[in-house]
Amino acid sequence: MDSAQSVSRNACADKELVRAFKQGDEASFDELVKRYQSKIYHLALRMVRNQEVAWDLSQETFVRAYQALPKFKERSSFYTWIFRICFNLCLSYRKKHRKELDVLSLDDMPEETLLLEPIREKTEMQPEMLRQRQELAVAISNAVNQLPIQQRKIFIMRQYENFRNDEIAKILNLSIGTVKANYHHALKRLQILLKEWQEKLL
Amino acid sequence: MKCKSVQEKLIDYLNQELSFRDTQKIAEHLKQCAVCSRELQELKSVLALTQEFQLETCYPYPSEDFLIQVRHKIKNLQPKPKVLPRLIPVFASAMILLVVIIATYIVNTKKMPTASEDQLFTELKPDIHNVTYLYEHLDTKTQELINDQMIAEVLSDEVKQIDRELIFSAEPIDLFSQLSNDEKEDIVNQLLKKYLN
Repeated sequence: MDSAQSVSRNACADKELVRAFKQGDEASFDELVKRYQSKIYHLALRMVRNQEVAWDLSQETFVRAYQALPKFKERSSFYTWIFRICFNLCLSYRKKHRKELDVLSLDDMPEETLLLEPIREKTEMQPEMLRQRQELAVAISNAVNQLPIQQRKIFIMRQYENFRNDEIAKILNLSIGTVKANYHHALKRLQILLKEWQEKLL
Repeated sequence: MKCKSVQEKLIDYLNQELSFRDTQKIAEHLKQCAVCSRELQELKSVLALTQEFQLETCYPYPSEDFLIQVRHKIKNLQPKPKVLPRLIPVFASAMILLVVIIATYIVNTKKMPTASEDQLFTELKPDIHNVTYLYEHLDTKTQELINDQMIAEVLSDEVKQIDRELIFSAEPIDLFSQLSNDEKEDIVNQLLKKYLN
């Protein structure tokens, strides 16, 4: 693949990549993997709470997607679709390993736990600034983890997994109004929990 | 516009997801209402605070390995055997057996005590190749029904524990092909039982 083609794939919408793959362009699939591997890995990690298992299950998700893509009817977006494949795989893993999962101390890491890190800047950052951003990442993660489960789930999906309201509504089987209301409540609550940081930084 | 309905739309306003008319109405309201303006500022600042972060990338292996390993697994996939010609006689005999069983069942319904139903279906035990073949040749709608059925019955315990609502949405996924042979057999047995009832 030459670099011009690679650049054009980067700019392609998921739909175009899916169609190109269906017509035999294997590299389009690689682009889809690169685009979503991190998000799918995080979903798996949040559900199975074990890095290596999450690594395997997220890879398995893409293998299944590769096999099923020719039959994918595109009634939902590629991301929603692959999110559900991963979700089902994790569910089935949890079903098979229920006992082991019970033994693990899940109190340390409740379901839908958020772990954040600062987005890497292009320019070098002062060590002090870097430390502050890392502290803030922990503070935000802790604040989000204190939200009620539904608000937390919706906030993570909207803010960090880039789902739209209608997609979240579809995945969680809620009305768009409920999704919006939960997101709003989440922001209000976070605003209270992170007040100190806001005063310090903004 | 009342403050309550303005505040409900502030996030959409911030994300520019409102119609032109609503956007104008809210902008007008914000000019005159200090409470809603403050609410907007607060939402803005908490969004700004949370925006410069991403989900932590804590892969157990280098991230470049992800695609390489996915590709490796795809390469190692077993090519699907061409079952069609080989299974035609098997399929035909399975269908005949099924028809005979249904007919026998209908004829004997009144005489047969319900206790023997289980025995009848234990005897049936469809061969897994027949089952897969049958499944693959069903129309899409029936396949979807089977998938729903599976989700409801096979995963029911899990579903109760986790988010039930997450299961019954979005595009149906071909769960059937992801199951083990035992699970497949179990499903088809359950379905046959249901249909024959």
